[in-house]
Amino acid sequence: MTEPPNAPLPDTAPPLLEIRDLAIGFGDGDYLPVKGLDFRLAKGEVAGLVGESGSGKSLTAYGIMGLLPFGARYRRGEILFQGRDILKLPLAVRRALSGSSMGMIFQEPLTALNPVLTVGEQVAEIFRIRLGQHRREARESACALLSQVGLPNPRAAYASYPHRFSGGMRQRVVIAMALALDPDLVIADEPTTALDPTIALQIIRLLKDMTYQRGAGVLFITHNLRLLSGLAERIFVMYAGLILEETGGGGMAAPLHPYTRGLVAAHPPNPSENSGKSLVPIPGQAPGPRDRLPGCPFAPRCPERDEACSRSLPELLPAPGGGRVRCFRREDAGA
Amino acid sequence: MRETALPGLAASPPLPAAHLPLERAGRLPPAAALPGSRAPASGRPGPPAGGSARCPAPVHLRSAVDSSVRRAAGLREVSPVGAGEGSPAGREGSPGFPVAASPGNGQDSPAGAGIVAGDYILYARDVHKTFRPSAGVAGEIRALFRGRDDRDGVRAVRGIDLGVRRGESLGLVGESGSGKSTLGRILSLLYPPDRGSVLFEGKDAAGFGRAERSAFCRRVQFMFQDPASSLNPRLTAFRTLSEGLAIHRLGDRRARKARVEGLMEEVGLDPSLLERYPHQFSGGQRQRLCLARALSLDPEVLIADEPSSALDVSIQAQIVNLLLAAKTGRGLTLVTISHDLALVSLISGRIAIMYGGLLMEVIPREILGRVEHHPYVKALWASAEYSQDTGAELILEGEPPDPQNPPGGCPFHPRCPEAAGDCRTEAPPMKEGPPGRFTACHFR
Repeated sequence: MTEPPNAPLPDTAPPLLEIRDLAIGFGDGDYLPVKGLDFRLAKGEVAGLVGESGSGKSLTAYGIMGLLPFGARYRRGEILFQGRDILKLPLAVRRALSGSSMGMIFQEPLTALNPVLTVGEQVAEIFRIRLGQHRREARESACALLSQVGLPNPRAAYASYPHRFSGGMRQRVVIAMALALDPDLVIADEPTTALDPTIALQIIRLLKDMTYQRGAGVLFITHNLRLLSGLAERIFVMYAGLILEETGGGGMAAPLHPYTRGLVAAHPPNPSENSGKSLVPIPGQAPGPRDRLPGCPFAPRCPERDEACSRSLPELLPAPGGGRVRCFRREDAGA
Repeated sequence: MRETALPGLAASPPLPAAHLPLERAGRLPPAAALPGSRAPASGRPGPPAGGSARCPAPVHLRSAVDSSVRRAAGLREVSPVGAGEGSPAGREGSPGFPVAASPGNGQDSPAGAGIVAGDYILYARDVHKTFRPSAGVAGEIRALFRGRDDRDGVRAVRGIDLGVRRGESLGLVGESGSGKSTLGRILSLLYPPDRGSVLFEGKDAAGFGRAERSAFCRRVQFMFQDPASSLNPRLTAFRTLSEGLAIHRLGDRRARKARVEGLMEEVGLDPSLLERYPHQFSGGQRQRLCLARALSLDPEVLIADEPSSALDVSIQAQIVNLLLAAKTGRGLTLVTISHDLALVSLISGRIAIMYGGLLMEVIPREILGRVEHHPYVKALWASAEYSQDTGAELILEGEPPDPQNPPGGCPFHPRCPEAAGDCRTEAPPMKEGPPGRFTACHFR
């Protein structure tokens, strides 16, 4: 929030989160959904991670939180949180970080909540276990938090079970739980995908307000590029386990990578400006996590590919406009 | 085999790749003709050779889909017995069906004046649908003794008049629980309405006999929301695509094979994949398969329920473009059900917006965004216009109504920034604003 959107990050203070060449795979084989990520998130910055299903964006989120699913392993790289590589920390220290310093908002609020506990118990549990509050005290904290996230009647909500809530209300509860301990980093994994459009706007506004008040950095993971354009100061575009492009704010006014351009053209435009337009699909399909392409993963679908593209993988290099792009033709694109 | 099949068919009726002539039976829309493929058809306007009028398919399909859906939702469909409490007060007496009755040329059919068959291919007249929770055997018996069923139900559709014009592309937009899918299913006769009627070419579908029903099923096709669960996992792509042809007894084996291969090519799938099962296809390919199945009987009306919401953006555009190509290539009437106003406004000529089981607005695409909209439509519009400066005042507070217990009056009044006294007690009738635009708001 402190810098103009297009300025590069200053190298002095350690960023809130820095990921270096992170690879996550299942087993020891070649099943590698996250193939090598590099990105940084400044303190208090709202960044978006965009990708289609199978691009590895959710696995990245789980990787940062230390919640990898069964069988998944960190294969390479570092996750520096406030300057410390959390992959090298002892488990107990790492566990203490999650929740108090990093919070996560899950995609599907119904599965993120425990159906046999009341909403209030689940929120109060955080205060009891992490802050050692007594039952009554924890209940008060939980009610205060529930009213902050906009539940109309927090005391009644406290005693209700999750199934009684609508999708939007459940997502408010999940946001409350993620923010309960004032974390410095909030990872929101598709928080609005399961919601209706008018409710999604409410949730985004709530998330914006709550994290802004607390000065928390946000990594907002979504497949909806348009959603991010009004929300994120920095956008990372992920494809087949790699970041193909990083842009400063203003969203996607002038995307450089052919994939990003294709993604923008494939989104239905705003209704006010769409008359006579048609969607331009990206032909073909994304490669799977097992596919080993020596070159750019997007090359088989890319309208601008040449021979070099399928021979070797371009690096993620600074591009005109303050972002970074992984494309051999970035010079042409920027010009 | 595939290459040689087409020329080798001289013995059987002439067969174009993607369009069997046989079910066209003298109703060839000239605009729909694909170059070459229709040529043999025009020569034989008589009834199809094998097109006998048996209809096991629709019945089988209906009951299967119906019951699985209901089971999944824990709901039971009720016969019109308990439908008395249907519409909210204001609608009850609203004069007939002005909604969408006018094509904008002034000579519309107002209150009960009857509907010109050629004008609307499908028309929902004051349809209602309530789903009730199953109360088990005891509840059934109790209801039987009382002679009525007074349990609370989910009132999905609460009185809607909506016509679908031949050849148009109509978008049906609403949030989850607004009743849009239910309305789509009522229009395709997958659900019988509790009250009201569906008119197909001016005839009440409730009175359809077997032959008419069979013809309806061939001419109006429904594309289900989730491609993964609407394809039978035990059928290969070939059987999935040829089942309809077999049920309607269209063509012989070789003709069906040629037709199915033509369909696969039309939706951009390689015919060599025909022996695969649904799980061997990706999400986008499954949706293509669903589209091919819906097109297999060469329907006139295609009702597509959320055709792209299960797909990634880059794939969604592929499917949407295929739908549009099918629409223009075949002269289809297309009804697209979606929650995404941006998408629907891109592909539809007319858009109907639902909320809480009722229509809020029906509007031609050209004037969308240019008139004083219903307050809900305004908010929906704002949510579709993602931008840096989405006005905070346009973000709606509150939640959509509970369909088990919808608010009285206008269903939107609890969230409406403009709500006043009347809105709470009386549901506004549909009024025509600028020509062609109908809206249900006391203040428009």
